Amino acid sequence: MNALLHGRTAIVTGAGGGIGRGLALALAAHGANVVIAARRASTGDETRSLVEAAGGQAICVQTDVARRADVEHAVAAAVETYGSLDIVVHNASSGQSGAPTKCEEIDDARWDEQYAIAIDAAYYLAQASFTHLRASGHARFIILSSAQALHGGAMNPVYASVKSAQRGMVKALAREWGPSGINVNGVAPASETDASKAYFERNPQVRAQIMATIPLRRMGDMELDIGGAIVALCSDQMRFVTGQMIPVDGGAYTAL
Amino acid sequence: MSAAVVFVVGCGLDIGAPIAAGLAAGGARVAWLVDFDAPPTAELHAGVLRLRAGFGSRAELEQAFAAASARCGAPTQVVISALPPTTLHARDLVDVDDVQWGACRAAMKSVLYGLQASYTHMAARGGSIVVVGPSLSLAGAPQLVALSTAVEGQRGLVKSTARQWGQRGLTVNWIAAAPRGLSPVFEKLPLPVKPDAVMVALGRPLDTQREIVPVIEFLGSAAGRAMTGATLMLDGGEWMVP
Repeated sequence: MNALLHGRTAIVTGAGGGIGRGLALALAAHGANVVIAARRASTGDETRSLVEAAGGQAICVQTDVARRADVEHAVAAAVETYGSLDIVVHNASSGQSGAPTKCEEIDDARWDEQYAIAIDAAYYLAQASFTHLRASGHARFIILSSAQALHGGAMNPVYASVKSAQRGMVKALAREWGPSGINVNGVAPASETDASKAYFERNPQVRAQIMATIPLRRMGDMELDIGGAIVALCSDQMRFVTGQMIPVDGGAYTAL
Repeated sequence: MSAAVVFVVGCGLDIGAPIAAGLAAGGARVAWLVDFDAPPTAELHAGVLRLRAGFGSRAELEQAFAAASARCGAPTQVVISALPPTTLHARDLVDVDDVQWGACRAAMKSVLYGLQASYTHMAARGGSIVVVGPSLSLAGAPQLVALSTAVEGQRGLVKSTARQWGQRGLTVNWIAAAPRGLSPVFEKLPLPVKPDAVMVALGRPLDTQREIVPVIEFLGSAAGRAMTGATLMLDGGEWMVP
């Protein structure tokens, strides 16, 4: 067990699978106590078991991040269980995020659902965690945005919009919370998930086209690549970095 | 600009009046669609058609577009801004209430409705859509988290939509203007400042009518048709973002 984050407590939303699970495993592997905030308890418990099997500490709190009460409960559970809260990672994303959508066909229901999980949840998390983060001494508030926000992905304008909105929140909140000793950053990953892996297996030509545009010629590993970047941001090694939206994408977007 | 029909569409803060006036002075036929009844912040050209528009739903705004089209003809260009007043109060995020945060969502959806209504009237022939917002979101502003979030969300929507509609001949661009040039409201807000020996390259405030309007006219002209998905920083050279 690496002790880079020893004794610190982290909440990871959307940690019942995908990138969130990779982040939970990475944070725990570096010594953090992890609160797995997952919409379904069954998937959250799977992640908890994986963390514990690797020698880490974790609890699972069933959390619908679009509900303020659930978010407040997850924050309270972190503090009650581990005595502090040092790291908040908002990773949860709507199941509709990857659905190809024409702008002219977006209706209110589609917009509101994705907005609630990306933006309202970040607001609830920030309000619920501020007092605890301010007391931490190592506080980090991190939002998982997307490469789609940087280049304005055509796939789903709602997704591009809410992920871009997260950029604005990161910039503003970093300025507001900096004097309180809280670092606020965003990460724009290009990660291989179970869903993308399955899609690429069905569409090898698409995979080849995408890989040709990534200098490192691969998608990021959820735990080692994306999780590794998050661990670094949470550690003291990157304690002077705040207000940034950092692409962790193998060099896919170099226009910044 | 003699053949131009421009809808200047705005909800909340009135930043469109000087734009509407400037475009009309340049020869465009202009409809000014707004959700307020207050007097405009700039004297409007006699030919500018003012219409009340609702931004609470797509249908409401589509209705206003249809009314404007009936009076002025289909638009060749649409200029959109959406800054609900509730987002323009400086407050620490922990003290923001759900009403103020909800205005962030409304600001983003208003731009969505504006884009969709523009599509209804322009998709067949193409045209130019320009969304105008304050440049503060690029750098982020403390105590204005909801506003920064909303404005960046609007900008992300512009980029994605530009990709979707480009092949139809519809361009969609973003103007990030110096906030104080858009409205005196920003004088009282805690805007971020770029420390440098020369903080603003041009060293003077933005003049909306003289300096934003020509850029909008360019984007609507044949010369501007190759530009889409762009963020045009009209801040006099303050942030010089990468």
